[in-house]
Amino acid sequence: MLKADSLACERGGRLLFRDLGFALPPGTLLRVAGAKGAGKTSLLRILCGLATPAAGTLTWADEDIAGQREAWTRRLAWIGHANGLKDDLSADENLAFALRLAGIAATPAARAAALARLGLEGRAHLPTRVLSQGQKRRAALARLALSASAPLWILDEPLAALDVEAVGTVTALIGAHLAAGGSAVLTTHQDAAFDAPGAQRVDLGG
Amino acid sequence: MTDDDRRAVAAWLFLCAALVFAMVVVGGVTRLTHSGLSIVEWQPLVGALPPLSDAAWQELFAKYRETPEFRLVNFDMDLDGFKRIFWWEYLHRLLGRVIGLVYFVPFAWFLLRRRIDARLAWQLAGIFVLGALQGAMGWYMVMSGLVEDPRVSHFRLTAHLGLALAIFAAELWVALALLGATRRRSARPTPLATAALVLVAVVFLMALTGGFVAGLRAGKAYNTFPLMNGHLVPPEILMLEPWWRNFLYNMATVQFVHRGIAWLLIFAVPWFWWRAMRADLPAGARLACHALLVATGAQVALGIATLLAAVPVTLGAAHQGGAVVVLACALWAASALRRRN
Repeated sequence: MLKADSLACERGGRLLFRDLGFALPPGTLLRVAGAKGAGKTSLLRILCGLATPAAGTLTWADEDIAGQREAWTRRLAWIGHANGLKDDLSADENLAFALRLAGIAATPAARAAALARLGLEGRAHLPTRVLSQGQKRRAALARLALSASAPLWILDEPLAALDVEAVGTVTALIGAHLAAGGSAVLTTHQDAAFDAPGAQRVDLGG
Repeated sequence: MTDDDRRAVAAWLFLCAALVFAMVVVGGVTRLTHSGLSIVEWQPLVGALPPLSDAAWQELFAKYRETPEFRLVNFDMDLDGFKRIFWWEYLHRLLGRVIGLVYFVPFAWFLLRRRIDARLAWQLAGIFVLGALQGAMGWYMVMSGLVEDPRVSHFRLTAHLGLALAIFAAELWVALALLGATRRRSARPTPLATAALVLVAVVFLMALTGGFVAGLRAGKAYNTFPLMNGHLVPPEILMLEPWWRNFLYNMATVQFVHRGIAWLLIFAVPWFWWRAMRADLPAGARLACHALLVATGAQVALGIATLLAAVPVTLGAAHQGGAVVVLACALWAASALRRRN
């Protein structure tokens, strides 16, 4: 279970939020809401261990994540606002590297299936620089189809730039992950997509 | 040319080479502080003036806010943060302009006063052309980071570094030749002199592979030495197909090659030094060989430290500057060994 206790975040001398607390049991989802600049991405980066909170603690299974570093990142599937794709490499190659870094073993056939699920069949071996914005986003999200072993998914605007069909695929992937006992934290502008029972919501700067 | 003219031209070229050295270090800091994409225009003349009013700062910052780097990476940057990255890029460009002037004005003076012979004049003109190309190369590189993905192409980055080193090497080589002109060239190069030239080439190649490592940010991975995450040869080095693409795009392979050439130099340079000490060499050549040995040792140590610490700005910049020092020592040794006692 992920637990946050009186978190505060400061960027550029400005206090973005403080006294933020939540507990995220297995199988549940946390939606982070707030206006542009309210600190949504900063909160996600803190949860990933990429940034340090100005105050407060963050624990996983009652253990502070601050000291865990690599062990912590191995538990995560993090997809940021930027796609994190090398545009000289194909979607398949980017996926292979992302999975290797996450310590997830996947055969070429499994990768092909994951990319096909995100509608990239026939596009999987092109350099990602020639893909459209939506296709790039889907190439980045394809790793979710192979990230069942990561208990916590942290996703920054996973539905941005996606068409209706891909929104359906990604919400289904997240739903399956939650049903299997995983948990997820995400930001999105599409309220309706995540009205799962037990879903929590925090509002930043509200 | 008189000896005085030769010494004057050599002194001027040493100054230019020293400025290029400073430029490479500032360029490294600009890269390592992620400052290189802060100025989104290229105005060789007008751009010499920094913003002088709040309005001018706001205008520049507004232009930067349109870039993918701001939107995707620095979205929470304020004006003060922007000023910090601006000044590094500005200093890099300003130093480029200064080097252009420090090169061109004395060159024109030597030329007009007929202090240099035709052969030297052509050599110096060639270096000037390389310098002009370098400014354009820098902008060509920056352009690749202003579209979509806020990272410059590692090929263009390496070309920009390689051209800087070529300019540095040419200035130093011509200057050393001018100082050595009073001594006769050997009729045929000795094996030691040939070995020194080979070392120059290997050091240059080594620096280019360093450009690839920097451009792919491959120094952020495999932060262990001598093994790469527990492997002599990491299993990731052939992940891409066809195989040769790994040498261009795969962090693991690119870092592996950089380490491999380092190992080559770790053995080759002391061997070269040992052979040089057993030969009957003038004091200057011996000193150059000592310098090469020490500089290589220091550079290897710096490289390992940079890797283990995952490339902090200071170590990364020092390692980039160290490459220029090793290249200078190799050139010095090669130049000294071309001439007789």
